[in-house]
Amino acid sequence: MGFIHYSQRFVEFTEKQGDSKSLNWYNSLLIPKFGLTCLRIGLKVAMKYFMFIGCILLITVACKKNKTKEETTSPVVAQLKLSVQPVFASENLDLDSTYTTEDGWDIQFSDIKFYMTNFGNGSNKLVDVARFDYREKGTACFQVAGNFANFSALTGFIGVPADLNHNDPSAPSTSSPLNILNTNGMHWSWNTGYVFVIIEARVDTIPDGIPLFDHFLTYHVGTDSYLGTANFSTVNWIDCGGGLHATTLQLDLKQLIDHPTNPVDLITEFTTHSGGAEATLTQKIKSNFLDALTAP
Amino acid sequence: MNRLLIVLLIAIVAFQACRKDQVGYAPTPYTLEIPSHFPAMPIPADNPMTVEGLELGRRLFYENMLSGDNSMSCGTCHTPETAFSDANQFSTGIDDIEGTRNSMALINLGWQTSFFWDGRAHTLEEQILGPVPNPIEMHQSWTKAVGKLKQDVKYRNRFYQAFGTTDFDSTHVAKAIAQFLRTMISGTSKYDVIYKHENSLALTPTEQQIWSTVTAEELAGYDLFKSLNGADCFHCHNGPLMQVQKFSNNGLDAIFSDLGRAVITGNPNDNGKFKVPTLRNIALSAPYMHDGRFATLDDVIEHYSTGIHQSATIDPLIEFASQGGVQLDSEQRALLKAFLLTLTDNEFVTNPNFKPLNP
Repeated sequence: MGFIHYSQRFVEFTEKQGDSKSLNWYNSLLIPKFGLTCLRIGLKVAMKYFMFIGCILLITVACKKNKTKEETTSPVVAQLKLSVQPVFASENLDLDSTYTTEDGWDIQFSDIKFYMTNFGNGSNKLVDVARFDYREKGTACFQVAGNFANFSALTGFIGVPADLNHNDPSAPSTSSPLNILNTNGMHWSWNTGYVFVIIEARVDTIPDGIPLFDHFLTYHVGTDSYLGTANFSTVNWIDCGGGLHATTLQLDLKQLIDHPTNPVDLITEFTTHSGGAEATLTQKIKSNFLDALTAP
Repeated sequence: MNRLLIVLLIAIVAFQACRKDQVGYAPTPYTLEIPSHFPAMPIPADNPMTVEGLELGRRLFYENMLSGDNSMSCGTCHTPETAFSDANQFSTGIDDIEGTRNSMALINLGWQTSFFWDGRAHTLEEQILGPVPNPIEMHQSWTKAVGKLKQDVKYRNRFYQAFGTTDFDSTHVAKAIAQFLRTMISGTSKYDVIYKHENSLALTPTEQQIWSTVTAEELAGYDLFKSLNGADCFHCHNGPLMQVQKFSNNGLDAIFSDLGRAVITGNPNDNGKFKVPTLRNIALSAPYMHDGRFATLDDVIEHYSTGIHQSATIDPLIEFASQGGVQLDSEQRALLKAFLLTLTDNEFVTNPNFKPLNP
């Protein structure tokens, strides 16, 4: 009611002004009285609509408040984060730091990278493609939506399956780890496929106390025949709060080199690019890698 | 009263006349022509490509007002005929001071993840902000450079058309030049046809014709290029961009006079590492390496063949480093060079859209 009184007062005030100085001013501009009448009618109509619009606005604002309340009560989306921690026996591995093999060789790892594809648990899919790159991304591998209860076990490929391996590497979306912009050297255009696993290191093969590290290890595993299958029968997820659960796989590089039944001789077995003549070493690196990668 | 009406009418006419002179802000989206075998180019959300933006960037790229004495532009050290690099070992700035690194070729910059030889800039826009205030390059504060541009009504209008403001600053200049540089795509060399053929990607009729001109020597050179027991170049130079996005010590020195990437990271494991450049248009972009030490392609091949120096940070992928290099004989060197010449993209270096627009 107060609002109506105010509106009426406003109209009256305008009319009074029109009767005195303002009206004289309009007359002096040769505006006919008809115009003033129209103005009065227009203002009255406007006032009516003004009240109507005001009511609509009040209702809208009231509705908005309710919406905000609904949004704050929406459920948190469950997330799963998988990391990989490279280790050398019991010790976390740092790139470019020195470790010693069973044979007494000092070794410095310079690159550890690999692809994980089609990871899941039975019919529950976890991730299509992820790329681990210790130097560029640290231990992080992927974080996706998912309920940890569905992934108490995990299976998937280490590498890229044949149906994806030979596609145009420029075609995947720019956010895909398979897009050539995101491969960080893990695509062989000349070999039409991705490098599944890259382990690179320097070794000091002369035990004279001088850290020369002039013997290079280059293990590049790829091509369809060396696609590996990882199988983790038990995966423990840690509740990080906020709907996030995390697990960290371990990659033991000592296990890869000093494998109990299939050790790598660093002096003679130092390079493979998965070519035909390198089949024995490529297979050894592939199988040792799968043994070295374990779930907690 | 009539006088008042006349004044009112004159004011309205004058107002309308002024409006006609003002330019509007309705930027036209620009779609890049990406070669079919290239990945999509990531465009920053805060700098979408527009016709007005890239035309402004093209003018600014060749604009001498960006230098302290109005004598140099970006184009001075990045000329089309040298694949937008500098034929001199080191570029000389407006104060006749030489730099210490060779000007990099400006090719396919839209796909790069780091800029400068040491990777100190993470975005193209950030990179562009560097040379103007650099005392050994264009040696002018951005405030002064932008002040000069603001005095030019044509630039004021162009900035308004591109970005909707006449109160522009260095970031707008960088955005405009970045838009222009993103259009500088090289993907029509003979190598592109070889790459597409090798990866079973469809060739156009024109590309089929080019494929028929690929010689046995060029293919043999490519085999050497990607052979582990040959030239072994492919680890760092492959794919449509002909490069891997990383920093590498390629055995130039045993002791470093320029620490390269380590200057930025402070990590001694990065000593002597520099950004791996593209090999596209390599025959045009001499001299070579971060310090332009090699004048010819033959010098470069000689380096990888017999001139490798061992050091603590040498790239482990240089697998014959302990022997000084890959030991190519003269015939192999000729074949490798024949392949490297297939990376020349004449359409790119003669593209009229990359030439100066300024009168």
